[in-house]
Amino acid sequence: MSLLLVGTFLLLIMIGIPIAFSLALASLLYLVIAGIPLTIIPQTMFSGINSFVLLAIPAFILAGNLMNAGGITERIINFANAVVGHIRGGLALTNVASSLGFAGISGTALSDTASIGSVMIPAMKKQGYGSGFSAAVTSISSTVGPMLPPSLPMIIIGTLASVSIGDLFLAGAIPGILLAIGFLIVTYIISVKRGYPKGERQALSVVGKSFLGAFWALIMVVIILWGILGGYFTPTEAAVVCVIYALIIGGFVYRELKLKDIPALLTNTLSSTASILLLVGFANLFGWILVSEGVPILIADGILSITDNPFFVILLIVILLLTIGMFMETIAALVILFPVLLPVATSVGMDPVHFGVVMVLTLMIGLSTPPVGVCLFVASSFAKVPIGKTVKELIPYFAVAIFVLLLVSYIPQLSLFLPSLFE
Amino acid sequence: DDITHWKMTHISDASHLWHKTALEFSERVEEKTDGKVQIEVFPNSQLGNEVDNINSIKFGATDLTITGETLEVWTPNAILLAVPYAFEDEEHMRDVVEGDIGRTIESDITEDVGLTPLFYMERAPRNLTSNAPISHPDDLSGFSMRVPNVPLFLDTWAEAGAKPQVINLNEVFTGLQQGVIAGQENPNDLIYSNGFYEVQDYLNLTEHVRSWIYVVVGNEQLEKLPEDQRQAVEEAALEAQEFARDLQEEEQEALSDLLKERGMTFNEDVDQEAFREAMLPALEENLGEEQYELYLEMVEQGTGIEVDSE
Amino acid sequence: MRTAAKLDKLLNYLTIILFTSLLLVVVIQIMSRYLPYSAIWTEELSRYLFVYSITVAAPLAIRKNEFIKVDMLLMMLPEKTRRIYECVTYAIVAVFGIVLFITGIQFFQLGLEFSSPTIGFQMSYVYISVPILAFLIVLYSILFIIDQFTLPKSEGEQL
Ligand code: NA
Ligand code: NA
Repeated sequence: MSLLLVGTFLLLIMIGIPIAFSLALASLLYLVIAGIPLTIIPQTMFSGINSFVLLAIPAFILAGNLMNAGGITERIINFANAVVGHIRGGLALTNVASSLGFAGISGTALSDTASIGSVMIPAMKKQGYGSGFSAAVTSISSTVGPMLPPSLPMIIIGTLASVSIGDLFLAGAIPGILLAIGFLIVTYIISVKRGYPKGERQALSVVGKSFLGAFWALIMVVIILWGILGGYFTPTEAAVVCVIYALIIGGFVYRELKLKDIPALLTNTLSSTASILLLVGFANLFGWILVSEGVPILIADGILSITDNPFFVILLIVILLLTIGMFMETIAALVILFPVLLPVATSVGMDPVHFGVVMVLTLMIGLSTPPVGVCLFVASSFAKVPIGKTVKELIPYFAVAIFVLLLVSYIPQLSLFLPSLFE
Repeated sequence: DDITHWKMTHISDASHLWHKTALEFSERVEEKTDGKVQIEVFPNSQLGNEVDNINSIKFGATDLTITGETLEVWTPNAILLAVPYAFEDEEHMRDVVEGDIGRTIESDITEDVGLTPLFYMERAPRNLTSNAPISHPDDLSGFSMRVPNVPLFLDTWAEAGAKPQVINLNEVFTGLQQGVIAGQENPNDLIYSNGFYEVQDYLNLTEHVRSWIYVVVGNEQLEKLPEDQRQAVEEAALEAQEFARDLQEEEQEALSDLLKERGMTFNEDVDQEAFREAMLPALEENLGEEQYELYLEMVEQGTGIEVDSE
Repeated sequence: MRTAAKLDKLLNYLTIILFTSLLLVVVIQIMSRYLPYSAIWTEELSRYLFVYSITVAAPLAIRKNEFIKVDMLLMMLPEKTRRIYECVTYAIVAVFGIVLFITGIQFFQLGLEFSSPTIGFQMSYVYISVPILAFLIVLYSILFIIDQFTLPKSEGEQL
């Protein structure tokens, strides 16, 4: 029966039904066959979105969009360009470096792809970088965003498992930076091989000036960490603080955010996030059915029946997550699977914070993989390039991402060192 | 086939007394009905929160759940399942629950909500945790604490002098760790299972709320069973009630030891009478007239100590 | 289609009002920690405002074709076929919308029987957001289908 559910779902997404409605329709079919009252549909959908924590999604994306309109994204890109633009493949490197800078203000990979992609992809194409390559770099580098605070997936994990969100925020930092370094190296090698252009070396004074320009954007991560670790607001509230901050910086400091632009920004943010949130709602329905069918227990027992060797259990979990990440949206996957897999992970001695970092990293990689990868889709549509072409360019980046993922999975200190400093 | 499959949902984790009792109940029902009634238990809010679980039974997607004062929004008297300083001790509470007042509340739940209480479980008293000992309402001034989304709790703690705020249970640990709040109140089992001992030093034995909770089944679901099976379910329920009581007594002691082991200091020097008096005005304001009368009746049923002195 | 444009506008306004109020409520929640006044209602109210923000904003996402989907197969089709294909997709979505509407009414009726714990109004006022959403999904699926036949080619090109 659960195979029917999952099979129908996969079939529906493959033929191009929106994922949110694929979840809903597959569930509907199952409920009718199983004879379960259909009122469970509105109830689980409502419950799925009736959550204070999820409010962080539109708030973080709105903050990102406000930053974008307020000239903050541009300044981060300028700063990144001043630092790495003169190296071969300068603009592509700038793209990755911007993601690292942008990570401090965005809570989701998607907002990172959309904000940086809207500026960087056209610029890269104009300088002669391939469309597929431009989309690939934009998509994969946004994986870094949620590894650094603020981070929506980390907030969701914190609430699912009662682990400190502050710890999770700190734990993602080293893996996130490793990932960015890996992407920079790959980008440089590809750029040299293909002879991509490089920019002029900037004088130190220009670098300094561009840093001042980006200062207020870069300071945002400090404010968020200070606010959360200092007990002034909860992580969800931090998302709203980000919105206010973006309004103030864009409107009064940089003075590029115009009052008349705000309504359209609001409705655009809300309509695009509402589509994600409906997906969360229907994922809750889908998850309800999976749980009532006992699927999570089957998976957990399945893994532990194959092996109880920690090395292989972790490997199996990572492979499972990578596979799921290919098909599922991050938040839905987190909500459904984190509670299922956490006990398996802790049974082989993994720390919940460490496991949280591994899970987020894996699912972030999934955002750039076909068949279902939101960042991949958005970047490809910005570059006006078929998804297949972007995927081809992504292959070396996947290799690096998986290498970092394995390092993070098997060396807990990479995640746990920073939080341990604050014990 | 003629086998009835029931789904039982609840919001506690799998190591909790409620879950153990639910499994025990499920086993006994299966045994007594020769496998004709089978109950599958889903812990941990897997199939929804408390309100979802109640609604799900009403429209037939699930069949049983564990619920208490939350039912107040359907039937007002259910608020009495968790009111401050209603009972002297466990004995007093048992007398009330198994007496007339308990029966009134049970029939209210059956009629107003459409759920039949099968048996009840005692909950450990709620205690206040903090980082400095709190022994008297005077110690509460400026004390920011978390309360659940229950207006009565908010008002009683505000009345007692604290600065209470509503925070989702999910965010309490982080809130305590980062200092958004300085304390919280919960039964010892939840203090333990949420790991609050890591971020709080003192467990003040305020014992401000003693409450109980019901295992309920949908009226319609129960009525569908043939008479003999229904009787078997009721028998199993009584046995499960005994089971829960024994387990509760055992676990209470073990829990105290565990919490102390994890570094919590038990503050036994708490002036409960002072807390009771400080909270009483909020109680009168919050409860409906009928509920307040019942409350006074509950208090009066207490044996030995005179409650309305002074 | 003038009516449709007006409806878009209405939903846009509602989105702005609801989400701005939501942000304000959260700001009050943060500030109330430093004020003598405890705002118990903020957590509950912000959740309901959030649900209603989604209710009015999600239909707009249908119109803008923003729902995430796998479009690899779709991209291989010639534009005309693709438009017809998308119409079929949203016809199916509309059918689901009808199911959600009918079951949403049953859900709404559950809300008639109890009230919200903190603010105290009947939960049906919140639960009715589901049938409203379902109604708008059906309506906007139909509008989406009409758009496919009336919009100039260039606009159908994006995404
Ligand atoms: Na981030
Ligand atoms: Na993916």
